[in-house]
Amino acid sequence: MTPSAWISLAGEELRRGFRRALLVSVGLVVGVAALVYFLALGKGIKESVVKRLVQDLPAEEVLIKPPETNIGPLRLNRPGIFSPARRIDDAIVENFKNIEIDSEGRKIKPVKTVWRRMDAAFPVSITGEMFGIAYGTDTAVSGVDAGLVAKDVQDGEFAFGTGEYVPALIPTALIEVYNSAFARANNLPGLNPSFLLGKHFNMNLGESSISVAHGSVIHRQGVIVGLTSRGTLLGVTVPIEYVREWNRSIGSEGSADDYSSVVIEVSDAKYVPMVAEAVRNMGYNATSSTGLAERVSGIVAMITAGLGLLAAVILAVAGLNAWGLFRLAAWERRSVAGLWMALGATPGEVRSLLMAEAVIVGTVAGFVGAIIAAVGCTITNFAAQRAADSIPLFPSRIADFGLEYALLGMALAALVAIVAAWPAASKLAHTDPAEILAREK
Amino acid sequence: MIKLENVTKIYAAEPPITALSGITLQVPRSAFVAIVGRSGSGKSTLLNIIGGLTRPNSGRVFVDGADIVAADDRQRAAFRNEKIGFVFQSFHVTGDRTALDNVMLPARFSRGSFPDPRVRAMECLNKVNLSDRADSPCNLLSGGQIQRVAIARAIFMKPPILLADEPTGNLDTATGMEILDLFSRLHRHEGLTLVVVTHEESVARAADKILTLENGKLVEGINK
Repeated sequence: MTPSAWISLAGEELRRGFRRALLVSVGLVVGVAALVYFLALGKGIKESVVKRLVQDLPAEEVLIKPPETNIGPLRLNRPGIFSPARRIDDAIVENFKNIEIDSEGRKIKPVKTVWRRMDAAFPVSITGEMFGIAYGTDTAVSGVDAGLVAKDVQDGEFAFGTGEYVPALIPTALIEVYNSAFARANNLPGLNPSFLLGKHFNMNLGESSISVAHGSVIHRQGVIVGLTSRGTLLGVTVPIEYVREWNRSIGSEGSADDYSSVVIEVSDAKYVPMVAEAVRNMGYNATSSTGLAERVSGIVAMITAGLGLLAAVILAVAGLNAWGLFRLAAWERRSVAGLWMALGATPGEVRSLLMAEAVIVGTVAGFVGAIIAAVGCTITNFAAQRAADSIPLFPSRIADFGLEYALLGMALAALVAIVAAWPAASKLAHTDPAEILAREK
Repeated sequence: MIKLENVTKIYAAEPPITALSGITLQVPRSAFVAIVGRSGSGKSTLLNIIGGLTRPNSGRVFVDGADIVAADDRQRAAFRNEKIGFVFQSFHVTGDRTALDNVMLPARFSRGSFPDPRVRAMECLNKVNLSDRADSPCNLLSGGQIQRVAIARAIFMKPPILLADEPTGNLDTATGMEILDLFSRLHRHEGLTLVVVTHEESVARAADKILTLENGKLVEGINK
């Protein structure tokens, strides 16, 4: 049998069995579409989460905090109750700077810089005016080393005592929350970050709507010099020296000496796990974007695996369905197969003709399934984009359809069809043509 | 020439069924041989062994000097395609395909490319007086016409041997006679070796030689 004759006969047989091919395809299409869609969704979610993590904490950095004991929503960092007392003061910061690790058989000091963060240990409220409307709110204030947020300063300087106003950075997330939820709900115009630069506001240090600090209240004026995702999440970030000074004046005892967290920058991202381990050995919590990304990836991979298992079950059921339909096809074609053999077909050619049908049906079903998944991903991303406009911090893209998934789906569907068709095709090839042709007298 | 030496065929069953037992015979080139016998006597099995569709349990079968029992699947398939034309009682044509398509089918299984199969198929349909129905689907043809399509298909590859298993069994007497007439013509004009399994006396009478099988054994050979 020549290849062209084989292709022509396989095509004709496929056309003759078109309905059955459709029935075989349905399950495979659903299974592949589900599998490819779930894989694309898992990849997309993982990438969007990891992207945000790395944006907030670059790969070369380790975030260090004193150890906490969490009991449900309660966070305890009190000495001697649930955890040993761990403070981060200047002596500890020095220790962090001098961390030594083993690298390729030699001791090295990989820490380049340590940036400190100190939270205000007193109530704060701010007031001001925007769009002609007076506003006032309680807030958090955090002080950081200028180097930590150097890239985020867009207008003016982020330094201590350089001017009349306290330079302040506001959280990027706050703008997202404002634009996507608050502004919409209150029919206010959205905020362009550049619009905020240079805007002034009043800071009432030691006074909020619910409490007043023990010392006197300090009134200062702040000016917005940029937006950052590396300071306090829901408040104002200022140079650390201001907070140290204010804590000394109106904060609780010792609050001017203790840092709430520090960020270590190491010389190479490959040292991050070892530095994080060294920090943990010192009794502190260490977080890195790599570690977080690994945890997120692990969770997403588990969820994707679960959904993938569901798709695999659908494919397995489709395979069983295909197995039954190919058996039926072989039974219906046994007299045709007998005739083909009488006319000169080998058993292998008879088998290959049914297998060709399986490969074509499987590949086409896989292709259609991949197209459906691609459409599903596009619709999902469209919905995500719309949701991102109204839900703060919601990623605008959560499905990442890739050609490799489409090829995997097609290959898998073809494989399922081949496995399903093989027993029937082999049985058909082993048909005794004489017996079949005689039986149909 | 077809030559069988001590051919035995036993079907696996409980108890085993001996379809043929120690058959030895020769069919000369261009002979017309009828094989007769009661149902279950082994006639069809003998035909299928000659045609390379069934392997005997023992014995040897030579066709034009080639041992078809020792041949592998590929060689046997090529042998069936090139040397043998089969005609069956129940025709075995594809109803939704045209007469022309059915006749051309053996070209699909040819080992080499077949030059212009349509011309050859029309030639064959002409030989069986059916060229005017070449484009008709077979399920619109009468039983006699369908059997003529099957005969045209059997001679398509110009085989030297035509094997027919009860070719008139599903036809009325008049149509059966037409088919028999057609076989005789092909035998005379084309020089085909014709081996026909039949129950019908009229068919057997047309043959040069009648072989009678009984319980898988050749009991009589009448030369005419």
